[in-house]
Amino acid sequence: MSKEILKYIFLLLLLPVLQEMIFNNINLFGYVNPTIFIVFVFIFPVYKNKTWILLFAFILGLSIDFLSNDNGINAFALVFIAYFRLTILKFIRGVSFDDVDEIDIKHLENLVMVFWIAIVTFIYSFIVFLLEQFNFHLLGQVLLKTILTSILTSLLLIFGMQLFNNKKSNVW
Amino acid sequence: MFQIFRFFSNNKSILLFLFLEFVSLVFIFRSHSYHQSKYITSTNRLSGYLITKSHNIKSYFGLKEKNNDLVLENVILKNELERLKQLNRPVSMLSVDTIRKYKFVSANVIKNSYHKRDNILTLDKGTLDGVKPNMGVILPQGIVGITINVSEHYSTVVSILNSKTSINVKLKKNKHFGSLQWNGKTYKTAQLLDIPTQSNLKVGDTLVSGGQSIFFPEQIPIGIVSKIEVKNRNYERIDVQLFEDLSALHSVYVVVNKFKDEQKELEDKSESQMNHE
Repeated sequence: MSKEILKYIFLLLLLPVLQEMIFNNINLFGYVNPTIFIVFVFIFPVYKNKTWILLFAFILGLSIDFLSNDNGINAFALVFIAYFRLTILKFIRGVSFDDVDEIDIKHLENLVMVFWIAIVTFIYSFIVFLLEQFNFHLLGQVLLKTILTSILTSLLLIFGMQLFNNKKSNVW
Repeated sequence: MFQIFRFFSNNKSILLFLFLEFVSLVFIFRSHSYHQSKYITSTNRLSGYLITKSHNIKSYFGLKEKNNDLVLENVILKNELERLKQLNRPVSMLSVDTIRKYKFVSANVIKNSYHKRDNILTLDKGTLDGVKPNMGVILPQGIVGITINVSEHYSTVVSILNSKTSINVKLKKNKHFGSLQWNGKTYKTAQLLDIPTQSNLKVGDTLVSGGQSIFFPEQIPIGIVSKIEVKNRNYERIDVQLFEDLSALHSVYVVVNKFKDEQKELEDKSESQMNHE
């Protein structure tokens, strides 16, 4: 387990750098940037308790906040989806509630994977933009940003994870 | 006692979840009061290093625009110089108090932001270059914001594209004062408030910075009035089209107001005296 954790610590350092150097500069339509660092929540293995993923999500979120002057918004949203990722997955698959720990996220059916990523990404973006605006009067704008950002992020994540999946044996 | 311990170990995940969410929320809410947005900022060394590197890569792609901007600014300054020469007076004599009062420090925007409700930028200059908190940041044709957090090498700026900023401006034609704020819609327009109805405002009027602010010099061009909505003979909403494109910031100037502390002290003193009476 400790060796596996090291791998994710490395990822924890790599993702903010990638996000800042590459993905924050895409600026589609002037302001839409994919938040690819949330891939962490989709590939982190399922353990009996959620301590590791919650702590890692918090640290990753805070690093992103530090880089983008966001004051804890990403930390909040990332911890949120990290906690509820399996609940959402179960909801999509329609599996009964007691086999939480046996879900193998590396071998999900393609369609389930696509829905999972899309829904979790949507929730994440919605929380981030809502906290950022801090104002329900601008809900239209929040929704527009959420939809555009989550579509772009989901597409990149699904595409990217498909790439990694093929070479999984030697990469991960 | 044992039961309490068991309760904690059984619900470890949810307790940790709630704790982390609570900590994040504290950070978020603290940041919503202007002076406390100093917990999570990019002015620390590591983030600063990373966004500088990222900025260095990006800046290559904008060299042409940057050059054009500089040429444009040069033209404006040259024209101004010619105009002053025409007046047949030594330049330094003319605006002697302005020259003494303000000093400018150039800086690069290494992290721009314009699509959030409360935008904060990061500059690559800090205390070592004379930048302090509460200094104005300007462009040749506009105002960028006010510095808040400053470390040795970096500083963050509360943009005018932020719900907490309010800038003192005036009409160029008749010197009526108002304040400029931003409603969060588009980074190209800001909103003009508190302008008296007798100011005879028209679409196309130019706004410049007013002299009442301790952050900015007077007469910096800001934008033109692009839309006026009137309701019950009062101004309901006034849109101002900004001259500068805040989505493409490269180099900016930090305004060092040498008399700021003196002016602030005097104002605070008078205010407290007024309150006593």
